[in-house]
Amino acid sequence: MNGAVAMVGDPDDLSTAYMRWLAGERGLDVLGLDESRLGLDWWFAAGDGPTGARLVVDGKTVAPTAVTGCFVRLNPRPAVPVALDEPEAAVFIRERRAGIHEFLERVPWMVVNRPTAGRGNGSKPFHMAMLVRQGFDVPEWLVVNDPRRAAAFAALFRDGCVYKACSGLRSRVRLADDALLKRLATPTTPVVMQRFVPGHDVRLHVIGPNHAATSVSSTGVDYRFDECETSYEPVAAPDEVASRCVEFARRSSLILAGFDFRVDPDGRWWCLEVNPVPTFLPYEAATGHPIGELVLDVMAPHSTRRRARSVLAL
Amino acid sequence: MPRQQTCTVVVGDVDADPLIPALTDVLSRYRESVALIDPTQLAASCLCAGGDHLDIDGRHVTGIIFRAWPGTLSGEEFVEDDADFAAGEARAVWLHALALPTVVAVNRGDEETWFSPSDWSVWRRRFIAGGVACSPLEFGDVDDVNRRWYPWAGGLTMPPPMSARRAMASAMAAAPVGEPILVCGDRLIGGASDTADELIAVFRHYGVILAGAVVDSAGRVVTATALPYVPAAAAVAVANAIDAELKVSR
Repeated sequence: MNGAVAMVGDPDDLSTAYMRWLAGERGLDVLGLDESRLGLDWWFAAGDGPTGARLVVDGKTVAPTAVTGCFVRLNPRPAVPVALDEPEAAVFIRERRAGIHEFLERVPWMVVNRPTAGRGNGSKPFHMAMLVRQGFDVPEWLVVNDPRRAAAFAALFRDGCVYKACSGLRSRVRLADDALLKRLATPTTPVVMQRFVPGHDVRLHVIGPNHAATSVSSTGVDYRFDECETSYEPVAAPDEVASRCVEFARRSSLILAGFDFRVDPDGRWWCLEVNPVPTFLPYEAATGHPIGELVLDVMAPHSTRRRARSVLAL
Repeated sequence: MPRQQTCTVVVGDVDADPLIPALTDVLSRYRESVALIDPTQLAASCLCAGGDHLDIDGRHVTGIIFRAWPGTLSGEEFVEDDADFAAGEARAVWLHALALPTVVAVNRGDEETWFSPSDWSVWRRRFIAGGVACSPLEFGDVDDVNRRWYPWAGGLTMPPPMSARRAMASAMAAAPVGEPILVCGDRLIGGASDTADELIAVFRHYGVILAGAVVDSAGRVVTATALPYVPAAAAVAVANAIDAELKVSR
């Protein structure tokens, strides 16, 4: 085996399945390193002392240098292979996940992406403050659970506000309305309120030094979740925006990143967030952007791409 | 317009953490207001934060001493279905609060350790990069002869069976353990390490004022944490050291 790639984490993840198929199309050997099977079908040893790095897959030793890159998608609720009571299962899952992280930090591979990269996205206010420092235009925002201050903030903006969770959980974006103020009138966790930007959405994927942007027109507030009419088209991002995205991803050690923008009627690009584990299949399928191929170019630079346009494009 | 009252916030469990009562006593001597917040009671506080300010219950927060594990902030006051969500929200909000430029934080929040299942492994990578002498560790499929197991979540214990070591990529060390050390500002409290200057420098670089480390018998760092246990005997000394740091930082 030489110049292989690995799929790490959840083999049932759609993006992982697609990347595995693409790798096979290029004639690459693919190692499946299922998180839930660590210690059963595969394991590794590494260290600072005399023990050299060693990877065993299906009973065979694989030299870490035989693999050039890996694609990582971890299941938020990974399976436990043995029967464990709930508290023990939670401890085991955490220990195993940390072991996977250590493994991915130590392998000499192009890891797409290392779990430590882009973690700030787990706190939206922290993340948005970072985006502002990096020079992105970010719509005004406030973290608040006081209904009077929430109402005062919303009143500042002619087009009103949206609101969302502060973490990545229950991440649907909604218009701030009287129902929100009523909810904030009882003790509750804060929300992020943000000026609503009229216009349309753009998802810009960065893949190493490359980028691919998709314009999204939708009748909903949050096209990812709302049942609404949505259309996708490829679009060219302004050079300044694209280069800022590529640089941000590089500094964040993200090889693959999904930047979400709102573009207002004046053509100004407002950055909402950067997703370190972006779902790219719908955008690739709708536009023909060869995002998966570009990722594989980074993971296996010695291999030959078979097509310039995505096979998923209709 | 009346001047908004400022406040230093201490987040922690006053019953379980000997440092908390000592801190609130020391800090209250000089400051306008010191508020103690139970980390599980986020929803009970009225909060408003932007990119450059944090107000809690109408007071402008200028300092935070955070003594809670970010991964275990529970939403006890919520119904069961919402508890995990509330805990996640608390985790997100406090990271932002601890990273604000207008807040002096013990310790400053950084996203890598905040969301990692193992903060000590993140610190260890930073130490190695910063020239701190670290005790050699082996991971995963290694024999357990004369080794101790350092679980990713913290602590030290006997090695688990080989099958478990493989499944958790367990970290193991052979060197005997030395005395634990506390880092507070620019000095060590308890224990010793030949690599103390480098250790303190790495913590400082990441905005950590109060930390702890496990060292081996040769003074090399094995693991470290930005949330060290502070025994009652050291609580007053640490509280005074934190107070001094807060004054310098303002």
